Amino acid sequence: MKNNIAYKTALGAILCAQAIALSFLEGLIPAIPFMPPGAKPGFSNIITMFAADSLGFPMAMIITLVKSGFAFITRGATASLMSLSGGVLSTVIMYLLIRYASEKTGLTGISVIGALCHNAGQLFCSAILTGNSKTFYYAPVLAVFAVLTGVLTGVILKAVYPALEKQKKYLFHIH
Amino acid sequence: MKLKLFRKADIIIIAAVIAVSGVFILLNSFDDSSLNAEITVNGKLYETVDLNAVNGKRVIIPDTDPHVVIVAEKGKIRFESAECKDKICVKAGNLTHKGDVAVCLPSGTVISITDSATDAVTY
Repeated sequence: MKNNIAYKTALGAILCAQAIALSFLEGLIPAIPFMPPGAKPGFSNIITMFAADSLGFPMAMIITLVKSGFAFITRGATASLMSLSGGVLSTVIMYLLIRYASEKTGLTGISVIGALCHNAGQLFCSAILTGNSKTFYYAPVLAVFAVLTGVLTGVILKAVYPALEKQKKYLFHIH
Repeated sequence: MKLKLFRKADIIIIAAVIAVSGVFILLNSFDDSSLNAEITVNGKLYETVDLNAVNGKRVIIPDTDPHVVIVAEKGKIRFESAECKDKICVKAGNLTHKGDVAVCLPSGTVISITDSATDAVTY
């Protein structure tokens, strides 16, 4: 029954909603003075990483795509492109790490690399959008910030993982 | 869940990232000999401002959509206001060091502080 299309659609919708809710909530956090402008903690990555580990690549990618669609509706084309470029790259790399390197790297490392890939994708995208490669000057500050937020989201995912697994089963029981 | 929270490689990853970015940040912040601000719009150089030679306040409004207002003063430059939604460029505040950069994506405007010595070679 777990391969049922209705089950997968429902679970996917719930996870997408959770990812979107998290990225909305982190937008309410006031800017910290030393925080690089435009940088966000990326809490919705908790959901994407969970999906990549527990539900496979397609579900993780669907969440990433829906998130960027939501950014398009609420914040416009530029924000959506930024969400897409960072999201797709980090989802692909995180999935590959979980699949092939989880013997060597832990949740924290995968989360940090995911955050770095998110930055890298966005920097490439903004370099193309502005036609100016100087946007890469942002990279070192963003990378330090990515380490902090990557560790934080890794730790949070570890804490909420059992709850997210339970949610999966709960939905199964309703069915 | 087969994933562990921490493994040895994680510490190496974190240490490497912090070390490499730390070196870049330090290199950029020590070099204050000359301050040139480059304003580019959609990849084309709009204007280069020598920040050490600015007297008083200079307002620069490039021809972009949405509009952005750039203010240069002695030793610093910033996006004063922007007509876009998120105002990330305005939040970037004053650019004062080599390597500082502020980007307004909707209008395609980038301000970056560069070294005039390298510029002489580049152009």
